[in-house]
Amino acid sequence: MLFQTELEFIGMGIVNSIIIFPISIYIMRWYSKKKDMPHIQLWDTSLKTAYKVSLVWLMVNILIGILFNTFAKNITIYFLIQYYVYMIIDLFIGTIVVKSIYKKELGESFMFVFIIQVILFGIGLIIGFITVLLLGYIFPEVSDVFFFVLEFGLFFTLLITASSLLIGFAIGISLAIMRVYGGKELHWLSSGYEKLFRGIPLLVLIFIFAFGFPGLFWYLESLDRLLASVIMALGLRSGAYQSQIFRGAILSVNPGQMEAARSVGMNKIQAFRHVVLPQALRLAVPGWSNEYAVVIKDSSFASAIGTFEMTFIAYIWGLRSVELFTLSMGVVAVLYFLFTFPVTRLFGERQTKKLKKLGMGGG
Amino acid sequence: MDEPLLRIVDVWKSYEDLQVLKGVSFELAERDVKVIFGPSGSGKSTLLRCINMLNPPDSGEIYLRGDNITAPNVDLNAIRTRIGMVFQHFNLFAHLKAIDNVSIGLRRVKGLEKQEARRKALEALNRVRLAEWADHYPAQLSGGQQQRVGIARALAMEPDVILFDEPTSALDPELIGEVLQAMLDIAKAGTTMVVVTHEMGFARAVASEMIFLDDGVVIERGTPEHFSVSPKSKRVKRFLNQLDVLYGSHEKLLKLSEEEEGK
Amino acid sequence: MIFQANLIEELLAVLGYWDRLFSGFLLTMWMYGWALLLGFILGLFLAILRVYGGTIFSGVATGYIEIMRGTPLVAQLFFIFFLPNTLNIPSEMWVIETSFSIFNKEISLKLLDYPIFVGILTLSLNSGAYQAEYLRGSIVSVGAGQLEAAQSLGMSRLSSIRHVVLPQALRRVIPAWSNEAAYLPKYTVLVYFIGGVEELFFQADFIQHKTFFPLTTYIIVSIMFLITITSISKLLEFIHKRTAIPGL
Ligand SMILES: Nc1ncnc2c1ncn2[C@@H]1O[C@H](COP(=O)(O)OP(=O)(O)OP(=O)(O)O)[C@@H](O)[C@H]1O
Ligand SMILES: [Mg+2]
Repeated sequence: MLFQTELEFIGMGIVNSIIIFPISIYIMRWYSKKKDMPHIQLWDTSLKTAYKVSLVWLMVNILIGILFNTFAKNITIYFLIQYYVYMIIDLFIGTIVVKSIYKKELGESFMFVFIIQVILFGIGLIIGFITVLLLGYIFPEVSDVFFFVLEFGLFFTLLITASSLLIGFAIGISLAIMRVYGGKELHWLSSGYEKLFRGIPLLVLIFIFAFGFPGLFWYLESLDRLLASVIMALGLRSGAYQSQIFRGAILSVNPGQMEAARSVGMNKIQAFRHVVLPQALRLAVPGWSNEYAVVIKDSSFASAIGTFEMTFIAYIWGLRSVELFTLSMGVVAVLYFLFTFPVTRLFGERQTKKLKKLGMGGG
Repeated sequence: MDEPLLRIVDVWKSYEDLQVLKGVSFELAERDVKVIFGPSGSGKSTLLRCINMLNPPDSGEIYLRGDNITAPNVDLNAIRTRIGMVFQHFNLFAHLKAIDNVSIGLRRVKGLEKQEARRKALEALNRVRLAEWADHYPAQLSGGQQQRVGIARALAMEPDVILFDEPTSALDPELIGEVLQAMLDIAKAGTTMVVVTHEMGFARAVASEMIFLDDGVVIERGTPEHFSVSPKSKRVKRFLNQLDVLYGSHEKLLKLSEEEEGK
Repeated sequence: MIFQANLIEELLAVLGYWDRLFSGFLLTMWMYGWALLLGFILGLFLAILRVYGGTIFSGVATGYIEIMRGTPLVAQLFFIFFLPNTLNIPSEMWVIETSFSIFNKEISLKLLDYPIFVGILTLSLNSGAYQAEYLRGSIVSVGAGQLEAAQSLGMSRLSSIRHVVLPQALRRVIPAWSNEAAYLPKYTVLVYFIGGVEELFFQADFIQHKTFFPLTTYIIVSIMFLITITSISKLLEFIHKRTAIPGL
């Protein structure tokens, strides 16, 4: 029962329009980008590509639909209809906002994109809604654990994942820069860090932070302390992996790029900041999407110390009887899959190929 | 009339929407050397790959010594042992030494004993003058040597016919001569060959017939003399002119290596 | 904290349980060995299916790989562990035990029972999916030309794959595969979730509760893992160098 008042509906809708639209546009752009056409040209892309994009986007929308419906499932049908009406109105508001922001890049084809979006979004929500209803009526237990886990676990799983990735990002990029551009000592330091945190099992790391340093998060309550230890462990380890990813990305930016930047008169830092880094970050996307999948999956290790997240919630739900345990674990696995597969699919190998086509990487 | 060694009847082949071969037919007698040439994309490689059924044709028939190899229930592996192939990019097995590259077919397909296979492989390597390089890996050989190993690999199987797909076009100019020489040698020894090449000097030396292929159709065919003196079609004339400008002719190279041999 | 306590005393207290650490280590390596081997066989099978299997088989292999890679190991473990129970299949296992003594300490080691079996199975099924991806990459990188050349000699598809593609693919895969292989031992701690498997992490937990020195205990265990993983890495590197062929 997240949405009680109409105001919250509207707020949610606006957020959706602003977040979902740019994301969708970026997805569209990635797929329709041609070598010399920086702006979207959907008319030119082949039917097959457009179809593929639509399909992926539909999957994402179905997921969104399921999520929305989860939080609204105790609300009466009239509320849901009202909610959809607001959603659609907000889609239009969002469109106008987005249109003014992306005017130049979208050009003529914007209306086409918009219509596809609205249709897919609508279909996605409806399928999501039907899924929720069907699940509830046909497989009451599946539906029960599905939404139980989503309601009580998803937030924490995403919180752990996002925080750890952020910590890992800060550590990883600093280590990578140290290793590529730093002197011997820095190189040694960062490679030592990588070896250390990649070699220690995650569970051991979690236990070290949770029980090894009793005073570490003294200012937190006990449950939050466990959560913080998990984030710490996952974040530090992710730093080691992300360092590898960014190092690989920086190294695969063509050395000529640095030279060219220096030849225009930039100093080393400027050249790195304005020429190498932007390319490296793009090259790191496939590896990074993989790392995201690793972290969100491994956040399930937190259940070992009783931290709330999806696996632990499913575990608690399944405790009622052994037969239900397999079910709850199967369902929670599906949930993780919904959060990992589309991401690695969209940003993984295919993205690598796209980058190769643009002449980036492998230099 | 005797059945020819290889008879290709009205072969058609397309990749998705692209019609590459549009009804090609020709025959090949024992000891014939047929040279196929034509502009890039005209379907030469496709034709060769149809003949040894790496890409089976959409329609048409191919007969090898009277056996229809395009028939549905043919054992393709058995057919391919009778048709050798030399590739543009050599395609030597990177994990095997030269000698093992040549003998792997003898051992795995013909089931020869190790010693026997090795003896035959050495013989084949000898014919391309590479016996002393037998124990080198492909990466340790020059392009010309690699291609000669490729030729030996095909020769060792004692096939009825060997197909060559632009065997010299991936080579540096100074390495072309040795490969052409090896091909000349085995042609003169009586090997039946179908060669896709733009080396007119080689064609003039050994070709029994030349075929000009363009856009999937045979435009003109005739002896090397015919093409050098009086080609009929304008397209052939233009193409031959371009060839002369682009490649020159390697006849000199051939002579050079013959002289070296004489010393 | 560590600086206040008597470090030496803590170390000695934890190392007093060396026999437990040792038997835990042996069990960890035992499970690792099986998981790596079974995972490799499964991975090779999946990779070949995915590359050469035609639409249906490669689809099945891809589906399996994506599902295993897209879901958490912990959920897989629980799922498999409770599956017989849900399906009403008896889950009794052969129990294999061995015992020996060193330095006058009797060490008894359970090598197989139901939890250990589930642990090895889960790790193999999971690791197989990851290994399949490495193997697929290397098979694809060998290139179609090699397969065609082999077939042009009359070798059958299967024999071409076995004698020409795989020998090259397996050599090429070693550097990337070593990474997976070397880091697999650390995933054996996973069986902690189902309990009752006395591998290294279990023993650490035990010692920690006995001595009340969690930090020291876990640091010692970490060091053991680091040494193991580094040695495996170095060993594989050595093997790679020994099997190297010019140009591959
Ligand atoms: N596997 C394939 N799939 C799709 N199209 C192909 C394939 N192989 C070849 N083609 C196309 O078929 C046409 C003929 O190709 P082919 O390789 O037979 O020409 P070619 O005469 O050998 O040219 P070249 O001199 O460049 O080797 C070309 O347009 C090529 O792009
Ligand atoms: Mg060709």
